Amino acid sequence: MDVKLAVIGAGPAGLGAALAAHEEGIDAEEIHLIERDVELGGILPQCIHNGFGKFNFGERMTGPEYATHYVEEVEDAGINYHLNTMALDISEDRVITAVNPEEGLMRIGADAIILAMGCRERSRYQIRIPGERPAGVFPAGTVQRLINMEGVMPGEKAVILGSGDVGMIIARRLELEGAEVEGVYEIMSSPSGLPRNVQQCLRDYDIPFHLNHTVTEVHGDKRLEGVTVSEIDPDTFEPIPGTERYVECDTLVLSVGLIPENELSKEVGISLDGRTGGPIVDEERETSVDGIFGCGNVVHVYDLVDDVTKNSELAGKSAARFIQGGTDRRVENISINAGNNVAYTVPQGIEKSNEEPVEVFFRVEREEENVKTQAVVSGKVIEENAKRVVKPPIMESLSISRKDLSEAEEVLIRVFEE
Amino acid sequence: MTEEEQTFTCINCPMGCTIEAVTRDEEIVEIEGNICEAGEQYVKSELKNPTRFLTGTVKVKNGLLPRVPIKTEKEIPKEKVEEATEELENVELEAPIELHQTVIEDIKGTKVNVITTRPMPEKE
Amino acid sequence: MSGSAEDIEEEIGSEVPNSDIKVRVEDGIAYLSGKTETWEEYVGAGHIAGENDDIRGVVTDVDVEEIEDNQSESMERQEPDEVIKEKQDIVIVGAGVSGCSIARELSKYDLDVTLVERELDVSLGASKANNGCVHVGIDQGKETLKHKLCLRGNAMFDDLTEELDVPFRRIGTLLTITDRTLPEKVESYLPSFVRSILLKHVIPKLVTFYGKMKNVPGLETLSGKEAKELEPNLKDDIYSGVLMSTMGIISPYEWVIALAENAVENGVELMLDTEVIEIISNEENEVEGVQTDRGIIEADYVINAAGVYADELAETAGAKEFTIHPRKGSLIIFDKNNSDYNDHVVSELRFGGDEYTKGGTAMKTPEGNPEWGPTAVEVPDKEDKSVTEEEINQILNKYGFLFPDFETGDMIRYFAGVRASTFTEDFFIEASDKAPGLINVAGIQSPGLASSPAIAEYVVRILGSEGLELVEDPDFDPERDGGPRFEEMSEERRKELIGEDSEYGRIVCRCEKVTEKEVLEAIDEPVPALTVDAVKRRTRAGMGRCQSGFCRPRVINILSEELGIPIEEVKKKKGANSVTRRTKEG
Repeated sequence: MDVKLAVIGAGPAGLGAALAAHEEGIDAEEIHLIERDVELGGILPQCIHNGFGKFNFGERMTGPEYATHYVEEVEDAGINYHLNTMALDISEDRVITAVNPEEGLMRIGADAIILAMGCRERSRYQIRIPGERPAGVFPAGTVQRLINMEGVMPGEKAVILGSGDVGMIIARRLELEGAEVEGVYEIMSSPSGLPRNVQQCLRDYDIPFHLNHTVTEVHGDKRLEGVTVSEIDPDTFEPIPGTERYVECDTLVLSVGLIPENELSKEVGISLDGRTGGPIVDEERETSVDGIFGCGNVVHVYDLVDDVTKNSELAGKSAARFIQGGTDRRVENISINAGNNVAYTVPQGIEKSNEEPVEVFFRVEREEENVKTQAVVSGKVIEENAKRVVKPPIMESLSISRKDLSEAEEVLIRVFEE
Repeated sequence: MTEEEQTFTCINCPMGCTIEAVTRDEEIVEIEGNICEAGEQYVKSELKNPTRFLTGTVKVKNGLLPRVPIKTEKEIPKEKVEEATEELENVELEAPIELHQTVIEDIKGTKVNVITTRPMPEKE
Repeated sequence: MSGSAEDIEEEIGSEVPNSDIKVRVEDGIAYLSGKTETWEEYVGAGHIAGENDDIRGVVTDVDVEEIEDNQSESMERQEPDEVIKEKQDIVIVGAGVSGCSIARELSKYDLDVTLVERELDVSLGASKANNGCVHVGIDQGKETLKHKLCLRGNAMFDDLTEELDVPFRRIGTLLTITDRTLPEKVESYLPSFVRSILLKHVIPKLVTFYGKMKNVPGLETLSGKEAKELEPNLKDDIYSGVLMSTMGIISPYEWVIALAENAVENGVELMLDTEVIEIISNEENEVEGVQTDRGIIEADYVINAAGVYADELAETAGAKEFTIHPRKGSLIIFDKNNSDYNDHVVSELRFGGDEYTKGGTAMKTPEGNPEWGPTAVEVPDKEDKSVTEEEINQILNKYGFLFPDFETGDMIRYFAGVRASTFTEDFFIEASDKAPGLINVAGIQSPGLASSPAIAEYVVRILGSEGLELVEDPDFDPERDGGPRFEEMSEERRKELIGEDSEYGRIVCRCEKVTEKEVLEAIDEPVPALTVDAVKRRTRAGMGRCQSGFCRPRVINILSEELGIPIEEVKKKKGANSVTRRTKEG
């Protein structure tokens, strides 16, 4: 079939993008969402805790409520969606090969494609924890799905490695379900998730929290019997000899990082940013392949769904404009570079000539207090924000006005300490 | 009559401000670290009557999925969270279920209702 | 050194300090008793006895001080009296590569055969944890049984894998000669031009000559430049190489499953989750059957293919003629993204290295995952399958040396298996004189996989000479259908299958593109998948880069529905359920 817009992934990113494209003038019948799960919503249906929609809706919604809001809008608009559908391949001329039980193998040719496939979890093997390979070792997202959607427990006594938001939220959920969480162990010197989760998930439940620690061995042949934890040297990340401690447990939950899921992007030859693991995108969220856009966690990992929605609306709007004729391109691209204490920026470049301000999202590499985040062009600060504190778990942004960019070749985003 | 210095992490928004407050008899004498009003409100509430949202799931009969997620409509007293969770163990809802359908009224005498946070269609 | 007890004792005394070992030799079997301080010394002593040309087996009863308990724990096990199977011709103990090959071979004849396995699936010992290399048959030192059987077995794989529908590719192996080939001690004496001639010309030709003398076909000497042309990603300064074209790659557990299925389809009875505790014999010590934890199986012949436990099983029949010393091997698997990195299996010749292993390789699986290893670590515990950090580093250094640009960060999994090594480091396949009716098929370590078809033929010949009547079964069907592999299919074929069966249209494992239909078929096969891990081995669901992060809940649900058991009873493997219970509100 031939469509105007195909969106791969119907989580908050895909849903927001499809709706925005529709609002920008693309007929609902011409928009197709491709979703591999049994229902729309992506990862949100299993995120039963609140903390969503704070900014977009002025209230503290749960994940399922946030999803329901957008799903109902998509249904009301009459946008098409294909469930239980796995996208297998994308060609450079924007033909998607996908498969589901009802429609079989499909080829969907699209005028524009929006990638919204989200991310996957880092495994135990990728962080090289030595030892045996018993049952009872799970990524945190899998545990969340098992408990919240299947209603089954992974085990009775858990150790959690990694203090990402998912890990901390799961710690609380395990305790509420009557399991014991022996502790949360974090290799860095500060939590990798939001401070409020340290409070409401760990402190509220008296769950011990150990920074500068990691799991150095897994024990158990059939079922997990225990893990060895060790303190690490914060400079080298090597375990400190003599600090090993055996912890008896039957469940090891891993919350050690999310990886944008770009296997499809690689198939079609999209350029990826080694720092984010996602496609390099411009200010309209267009990738290096014409007419293919990216938004949400597939581009880089967000902390707040509100930001995902914002970015997806931008991508949807841009895709609509592309279908309608496209935006003029600049003669010379402007690259956006990461300066002092900035790990990466999204977008990585400005390529279109229009009048809209460019909001640049970025993460810092380390925590700093009383600094300014700045955008610098030809040595001149064109935009800055005073910040009481910046930290890696919290994404920052700066809005840059076009008038400051007329002669620019490069925008440097940096953290500036006085 | 003694003054106490306490540290709080506000849970209202992602900033998670670390707030230091000097209190006397559950009243705030001095406060710093919060970037907005909500922070002060949070500390007040933590001192007098700490509350939390409760979220969880309940069993579903005949639904597309075996569980449906729920939440308390408002925050409830922190000390009631455990018994509220236990009461939910006995609930089974039959599909189809609506969004924000009332699951339990006035849970554990808190005057707060427990509602669903999504619709759940019937199993095909 | 002769095989006399005194000589062996003396050599052990001088080579292994801190030991006190007495040796007795009877009928070509050396019996060692006494003590050593360390496990390493113990293994060294065993090897000294085993290396001897006149010795065909080594049995040890030695106290090793550093090991607290040498005995395997005796667990409380049921030993029901009930005869659950009467008058079998043959019972095969152990459904690894040997047991299943023998079962399939025996299914060609009109015989009552039962294959007994303590685990919930076949192939769960070393048979699943090796790298799947079907070796060429080049071997060191004296003439061994394993060499003969490897040569014969390797040649049989093309026909057999076609009959049994198992993917198999003869990609060949390139043995490289590098800066590490000569031992350091030797290097320091050599003038550089002599070293250069040795490495570039003499050594490869010697290896080729040696191989030809050992009847290995398909050998070719290559210059460094030619080696680099074959494998452009190799480091620059390879001196020379030897290409051995008969090396093949196969998925080792897929091979064993295929053999078992064909055997079952041809009438062999497979009993899983059944542990053999001891061999039962009469007053003349003639074999009468086996006692399992479910009851007694009567049989005229017992094939002992029990892997690392073969020595303990033989002992129950009073026929212990070998002791197994476990040797662990760890392997690392990398992302399929790198499947084109090397076309051949690649290894490195190193003199003075570990004598008892092939040295390991940088190879790839038939599905395209690069696989490096294995290591060789002597371990006292037969169940020690832990992968240590040292081993991971050792593997990365060893093959990273040959392939300096390889993305070692793309590691997706590592695992280990334990080799059932004898002290002669050769196969021990013999009819037992001490226990008539018992055939020991022990010490099957590398090249056990390549040898497996030949081992089966060899064992059947032994059975024949032990009096078993071999009447061919005219209904024997050698062909087995391996089931569909969606990932490998053309688009037309995929469309066709989805049209016939919509379950082909639902993808359960996104990393390996495994469909729901394939999972359902795996649960329904002649050797059915009963656990999450068994589904994984048959379909590859869970073997991809996310390591079952996505598919785990889905596979658990399918197993629950198909086996008719609640989710909390679905097992990941024997002794370990996937999830423990319903949530409290459940």
